[in-house]
Amino acid sequence: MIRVLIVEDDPMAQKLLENFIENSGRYKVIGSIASAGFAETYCLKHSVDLILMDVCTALGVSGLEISAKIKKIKPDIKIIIITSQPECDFINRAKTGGVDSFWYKSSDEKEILELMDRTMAGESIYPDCTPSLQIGYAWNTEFTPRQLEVLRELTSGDTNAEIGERLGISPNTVRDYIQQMLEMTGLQNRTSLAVAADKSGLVNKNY
Amino acid sequence: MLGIIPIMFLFLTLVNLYILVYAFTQSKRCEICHIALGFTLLTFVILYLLTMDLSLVANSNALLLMIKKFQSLLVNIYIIIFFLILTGSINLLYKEKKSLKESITRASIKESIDNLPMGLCFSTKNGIVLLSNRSMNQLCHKITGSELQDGEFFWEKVMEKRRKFEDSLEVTGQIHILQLNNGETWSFSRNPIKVNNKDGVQITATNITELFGLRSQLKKKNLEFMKMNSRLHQYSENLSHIKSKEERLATKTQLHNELGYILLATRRALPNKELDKEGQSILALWKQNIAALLSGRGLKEKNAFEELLEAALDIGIELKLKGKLPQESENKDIVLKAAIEALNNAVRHAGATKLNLTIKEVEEEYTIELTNNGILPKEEIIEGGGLSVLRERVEGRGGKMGIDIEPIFKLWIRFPQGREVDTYD
Repeated sequence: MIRVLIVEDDPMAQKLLENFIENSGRYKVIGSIASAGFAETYCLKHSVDLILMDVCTALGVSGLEISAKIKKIKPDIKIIIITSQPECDFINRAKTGGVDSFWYKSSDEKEILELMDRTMAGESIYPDCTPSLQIGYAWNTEFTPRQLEVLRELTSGDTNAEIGERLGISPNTVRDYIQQMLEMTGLQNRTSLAVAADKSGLVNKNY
Repeated sequence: MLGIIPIMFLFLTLVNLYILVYAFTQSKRCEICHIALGFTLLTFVILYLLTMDLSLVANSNALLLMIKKFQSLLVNIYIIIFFLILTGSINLLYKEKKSLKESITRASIKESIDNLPMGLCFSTKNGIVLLSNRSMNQLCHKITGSELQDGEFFWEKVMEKRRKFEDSLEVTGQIHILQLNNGETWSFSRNPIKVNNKDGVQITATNITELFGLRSQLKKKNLEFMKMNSRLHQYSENLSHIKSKEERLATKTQLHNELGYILLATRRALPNKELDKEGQSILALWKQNIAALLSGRGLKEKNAFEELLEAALDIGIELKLKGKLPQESENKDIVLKAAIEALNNAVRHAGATKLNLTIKEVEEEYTIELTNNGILPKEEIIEGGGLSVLRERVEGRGGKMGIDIEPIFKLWIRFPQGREVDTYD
């Protein structure tokens, strides 16, 4: 039996996953925790083969950050990131952190079990693209990676100078990127842009 | 009587020469040259008159001729000397006028500083005014109500009025800002200088009314901007909770949809009297979905401490809180990060089952203490990734972090509460 740790702060989603896994006959849930902040410790204290890791977990801890840490100390543990957030950078960060597979949440039992089987068989499965969504008049696919970086920082409410310092570009360049995005989306000002980006989930600075 | 004439002539010539030499060594050369010219004329007139008197009393033609010749020689010599002195004086006068145009005099200094828009005052250490300009005199009138006669007294008055106004301005350093009753804003500075190798004081005043107005506007706009940013911060934080709620709602909706399908399947299967294989799977689905729905029953939004409490239980630790979690998002986050770190270490290294989190709030400073019931570390603790990240964050906020090993293991943090921008007017 393959031992699975579920890291999920939504009790209903946690229960559904537990049911899917228990019904499979091939996997066994050895623990369900709400915050990724304790996943590393859990893995050090228990034998875990596979982790189903949510990105936005309790206490504001990012599942992506912890996955990368676990992969460093326990590379044999397979990790599948599960999320319903369309943040465009989650897939890239998961890949960089050495996460094995990535799954956008659904209630399809077969889909997740198949993904788990293939991941345990050594495959690395990632979605081809993030879910489509719109900000103002612009689709998420229309934004350049640099624009998305600026947009993510913009949701923090910081000034152009602070954003520029973090990204290693000048405040004027930040202003230009924001202006480009305002033209693309047709939104009135930077605050509207930040709010729309945050609300849509295209960028998520908290995790 | 005749013997006096050459003596007089010699004497007056010497006097003229002396005056001329003296004139060249002095700054007021023109005036002295004019005196010399006057003396020359006077000498001429006196000598001529003396020889005239002599001619009247001469008792022989030979003597009269001699006197006449002398008079003629006298006239010629003095005409030459007169023209020499005259041309010399004109030349000097020209040079003097030219030099006046090209050199800086006291009057030109005073005139130029009077035309400066800034206020300027030079005084001795004791306050005796050496030089001040029109602007500074006017300022002194407006500030003290009297003439600028004592530089130190004037500065004292400036400092008195400055304090009343500046305390609310957060102005620091050597520049002192003062707003006059007429709305003008001036910046004052006082610097020690050397005047003729003696200690002196220079006071300057600059009109910054326009600049100050712009600064006030900028400050107002910055404050608005900060408030807006802070609201955006708050919004972003609230949005995480909203998104989490939306996710749960989406799960619920999915479960309800599933139940709809299961209900239809159940209805279709009901006519079969025996519970066949299909019936068994429908029953399993019922159980699965009901269990999931039940897990979300009565679910209310948890606060940060409740989340921490449950997460601690996930790894087998009972957490006790003494005090209150900070309300400010950044402060709360530091406490949560410290608690997560302490919980992880308590399980990993101390084998603890209980952890006490104490939060004290004293004089705008938070003190956090984390103790556990595990075994004490035998060796000195080397701060790893988590603790060093926490230390960096705490010290970045101007706080301190430490670990005590005896008598019990204690991780403590102290940091200032900081000032959050009021997001609502």
